[in-house]
Amino acid sequence: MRGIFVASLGCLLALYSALPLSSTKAEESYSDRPAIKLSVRAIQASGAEASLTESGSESEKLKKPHIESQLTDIEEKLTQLPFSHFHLISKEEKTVHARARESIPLPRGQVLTVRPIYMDTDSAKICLYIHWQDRDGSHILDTRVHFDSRESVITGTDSSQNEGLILAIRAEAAN
Amino acid sequence: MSNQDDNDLTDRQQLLLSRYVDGECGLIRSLQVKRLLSTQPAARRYVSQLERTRATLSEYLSQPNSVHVDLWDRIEGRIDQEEHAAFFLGARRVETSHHSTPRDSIWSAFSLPATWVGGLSGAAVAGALLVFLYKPVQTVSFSAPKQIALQSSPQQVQPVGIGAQRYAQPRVARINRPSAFEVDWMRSHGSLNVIPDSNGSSAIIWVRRRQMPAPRSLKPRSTTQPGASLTASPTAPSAKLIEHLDGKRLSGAK
Repeated sequence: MRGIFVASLGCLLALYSALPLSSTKAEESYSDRPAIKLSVRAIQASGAEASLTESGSESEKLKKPHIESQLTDIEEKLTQLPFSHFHLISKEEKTVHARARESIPLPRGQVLTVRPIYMDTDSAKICLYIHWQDRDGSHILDTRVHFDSRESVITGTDSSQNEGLILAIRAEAAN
Repeated sequence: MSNQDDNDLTDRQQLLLSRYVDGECGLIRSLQVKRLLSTQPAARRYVSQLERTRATLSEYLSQPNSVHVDLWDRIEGRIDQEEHAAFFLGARRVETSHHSTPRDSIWSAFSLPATWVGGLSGAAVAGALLVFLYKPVQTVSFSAPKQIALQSSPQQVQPVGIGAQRYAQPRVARINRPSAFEVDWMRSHGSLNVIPDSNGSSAIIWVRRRQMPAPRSLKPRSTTQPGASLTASPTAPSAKLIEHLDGKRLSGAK
């Protein structure tokens, strides 16, 4: 009985290995483990808006924040955050394959782990697994998101009373 | 035979002596036996014991059997029982021999239910492996029933506050575009804010771990939706910011 069970299991596994990979319409637009270019920018944000109980004109409160020239592509996103200064600390660019995990060191001993799940070239959509870990090992962020690969995903956290650390993650197909 | 004699004589000598007593020795062996008997008293004792045993055995076998046990009645009764049992229950079947042909054993193995159980379980395991390995990546997009509508102006983008839960519920900012921002899951050691873009193609994910002012574009809804708690802290600065943004929007609409 044991031999027949093993034989049947082996036959089914052999059949499985011989089956051609099924291709659906959604999968046809995915290349087999495409190369994806990852760009991670660490941005130091400072000058958090003070309490609005203090006196101040509306124009001062809503004046445009100071953003470096290297961050102009995400200026629109950064202006939504309550900081007045945005300074680029570091920039990492790596090419990874889909479903491959890549760890990127960040300032202050933090680590960002990114794993592209898939990239749809038709709809320019990409799925990223993002794991942001603090230097003490605590999880700052653990998420999996789908977004337009032509855009950047911005994530950040507060590092002190008036400062924050922002990550701009961009993933696009590596040609 | 005494153990002492056994220890004095080797197995070959004992065998030789046994053959001598039985009269199976030739000339040479007879001479060997006679020599052994003359030199070793253990051999003489062994031979005498063998002769006594033979005499006793022959005397016993010569006596007629004095045991009178009639077993025929018992045998006949047993035969009647077997016949009655065969009449009511069928003939007694003899168990098949294990020395069947290999071909018969294979077919007979297939007829066993245990064979089918083993085969089906193997098929189930292989099928489960197939399903597990080929499970497609599903993008689960959640659309909260209390989703905040997006405004066209980027300054009026409303964040989707998730609340101060450690494991936040995902929210989706979706508009009529195929590449909308979707979240499968989101976990953090802090309060999460998801601020979608004006076109909903990307978003800002803010993790609040300290008491900070609310994001610039934070604006709560006029009616608090259950389950969609805002990230605005109950402290005064956030309330002031909300009032300020409300005032600006109203003045801008004018």
